[in-house]
Amino acid sequence: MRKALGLMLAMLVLMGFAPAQGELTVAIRNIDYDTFDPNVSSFTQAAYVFRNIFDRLIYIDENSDLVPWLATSWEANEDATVWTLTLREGVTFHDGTPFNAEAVVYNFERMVDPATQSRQAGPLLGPYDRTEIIDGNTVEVHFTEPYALFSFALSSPFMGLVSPAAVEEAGDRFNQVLIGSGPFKFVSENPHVEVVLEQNPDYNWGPEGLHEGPAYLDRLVFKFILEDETRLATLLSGETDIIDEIPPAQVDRILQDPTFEVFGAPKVGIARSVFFNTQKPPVDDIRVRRAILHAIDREAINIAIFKGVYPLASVVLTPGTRFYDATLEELYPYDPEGAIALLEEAGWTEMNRDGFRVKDGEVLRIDHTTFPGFVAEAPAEIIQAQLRDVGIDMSITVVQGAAYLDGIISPDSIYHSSLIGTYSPDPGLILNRTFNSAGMGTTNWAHYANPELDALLQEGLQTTDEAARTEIYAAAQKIIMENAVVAPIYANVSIFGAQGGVSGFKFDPYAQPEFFDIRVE
Amino acid sequence: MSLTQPQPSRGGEPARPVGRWRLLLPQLRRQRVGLGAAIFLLVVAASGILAPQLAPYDPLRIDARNTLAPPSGEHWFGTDDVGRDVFSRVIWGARISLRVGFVSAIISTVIGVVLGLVSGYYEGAVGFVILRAMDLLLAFPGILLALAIVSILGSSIENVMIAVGISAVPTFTRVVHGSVLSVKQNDYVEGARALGCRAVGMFRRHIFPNVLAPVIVLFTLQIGAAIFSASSLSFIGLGAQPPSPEWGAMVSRGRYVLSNAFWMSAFPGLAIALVVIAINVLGDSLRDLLDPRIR
Repeated sequence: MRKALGLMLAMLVLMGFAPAQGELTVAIRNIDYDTFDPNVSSFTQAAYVFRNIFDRLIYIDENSDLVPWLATSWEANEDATVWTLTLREGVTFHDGTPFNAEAVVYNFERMVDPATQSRQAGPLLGPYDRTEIIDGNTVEVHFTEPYALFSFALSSPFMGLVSPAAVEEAGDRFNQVLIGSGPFKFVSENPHVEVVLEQNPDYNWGPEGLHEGPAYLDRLVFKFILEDETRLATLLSGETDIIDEIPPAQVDRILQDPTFEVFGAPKVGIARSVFFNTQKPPVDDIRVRRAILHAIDREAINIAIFKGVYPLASVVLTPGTRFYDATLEELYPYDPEGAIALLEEAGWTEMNRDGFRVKDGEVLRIDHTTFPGFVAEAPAEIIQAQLRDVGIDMSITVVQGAAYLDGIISPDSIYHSSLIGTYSPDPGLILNRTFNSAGMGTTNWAHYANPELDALLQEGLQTTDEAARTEIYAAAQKIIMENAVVAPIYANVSIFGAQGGVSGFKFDPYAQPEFFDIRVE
Repeated sequence: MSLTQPQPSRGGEPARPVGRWRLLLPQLRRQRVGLGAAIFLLVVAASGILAPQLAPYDPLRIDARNTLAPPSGEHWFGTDDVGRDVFSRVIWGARISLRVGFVSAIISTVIGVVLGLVSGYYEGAVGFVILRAMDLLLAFPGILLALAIVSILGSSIENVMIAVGISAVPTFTRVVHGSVLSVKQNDYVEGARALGCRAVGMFRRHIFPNVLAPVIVLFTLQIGAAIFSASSLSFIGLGAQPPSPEWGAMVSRGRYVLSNAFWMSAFPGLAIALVVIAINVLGDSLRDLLDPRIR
């Protein structure tokens, strides 16, 4: 017994004095990632990890400006159907494969290959046609239609470039080798528990203005901890250096201790909104949808759950997104009387014993689905109570994982509504994905089809002129809001907590953490 | 060490014979605990039934300006993250949990007893098939089986009742089967058969009354187990859906603020623990009362 104790003490001492310098441990909430292969993955939180392994052609800096990374320059022809990219020289992947024009072609072809089943990278290439090699470090990317947002799309973390040689060698098992050219190399993965990365000592091709030379950190460890309280406890106990998704109700508590810091980055893009299934009665009726918008008191949700930490949203885009149209903010003020008037106009005049409205023997009932967690469940409960006040019976079903998205987008969805959002510094791509009728059954959460809107969204992707795009997206927001396709509720915020000794932590415009420039004291 | 010194007797009463008391005392005490448990459960059941009258607040009423308030005179158990009164929700939750416990225990009892009677009485192929099917179900932990069933049926409190009910069927079947086997050996069963008694009458008049005692005990214990399983399923989001004040769901919901608002999880958790313990104690007492060997 004494021996064992002595041994344990010795181990503790050893662990205590082990050189922990240059190692950063990050705890991430989302344990449900799919893969760290950027060309395949569909999970934003997976990008937290793989963005460190895989470089992109273009970087988007803190000011949302596109800056050179593995592409030193890029240029579109007049109608944006052909883009010419000049590539950086002297870049090698972790396995020694040189980065060049062939590698870029290989990556683009892999992203659009149906066999890759790319959920993000492939769609980001838009109307991609082919890539031609001009010389060793110049390529021409051809599109079947004008694609003005191509350079922006290249800045997405999902556009990480993989080593062609490694993919050829590993095949389907590439997600277990993960060879890129980034500042960190993949070391090991214990699925849904831990991922270990180590510094790439040869790295000297970081994006302009972010960081020069190799990363400061020797090792970067990601741990996946679902429970908010557990994750928080690991930060408070010093087991981890950085954690993500701190509940707003806990921010004050952490800040009471000056040894910790809290960082927040608003996720700009499409606000977390109640997306109506616009083809399913009773919410196929615009009057019912408008009534719901008037019946929701966002301020109450803010006070109760978000404590002023998450900004509220009253337009489909969040404040701070490019092309945000503030003139639409006053379209649906909180007005329960107005909501009742709209419902009565729509024929929901009778009341049943439970206080819910009835028309032709049908109760005004809305089946709402949500993913688990306070960010979606708690607002849904408050909305449920607010809708009850105007006679709408809203039921909530909590659904986990992939079944949730499938449940809302499927053509015969049993749900009327769901609280969901998505974000991107430029709204063009996500608006098109979410509201274009081409995405029916896959990405069109509202089951909404409007030819006028489709045309606008299409045009927005083809125009480079900023003034023209401002007009286009103002018109698109107007259509979405006037038709009450969504009831915007709030803007999500990425809230991270860190030990005081961590410096250099920042967010990129995708509200993702940038670990490249971090130092640990 | 004065505690170990013998106390002088007071008043000079003659010492009473202790032998009989010593034998009866443990049993009596156990019954008294059982009685206490029964009274507690009656109180819980009554408050569940009378929840609309007893609860000080509407369990669903949201108060955005009074969230996560600690326990006070106004809100005995505090308020939750959307400002609902936790005490009122716990009382309403008794309704849900006791109903889940009863209904699913009835489901398992009815199916289990029928299967047990049949498999015990017809020992041949029928009994074999039933017993092997039960073995198959027993191979999975009950909660896992319930989880699978809920996944197939969909998340709702009704489906949880069915799932938990079905997952406990094998226990009942095995117990009843065993009892039937021993009852069947009795001469009066042989006699009844010789007199031409048909199967249904045989079950009703001669076999079932003799296997009733263990079934009652098992039924009681199963209510507790069912409440526990149903709470577990609701905890992981497969049972009661928001805003239903189900205890397991309430415990689950409080997790993310556990360190600064313990009352959100603690009180519903305590309710589950106390009710399940009380039911188990009651079940034990019932067994003592009904088992002739102990009596």
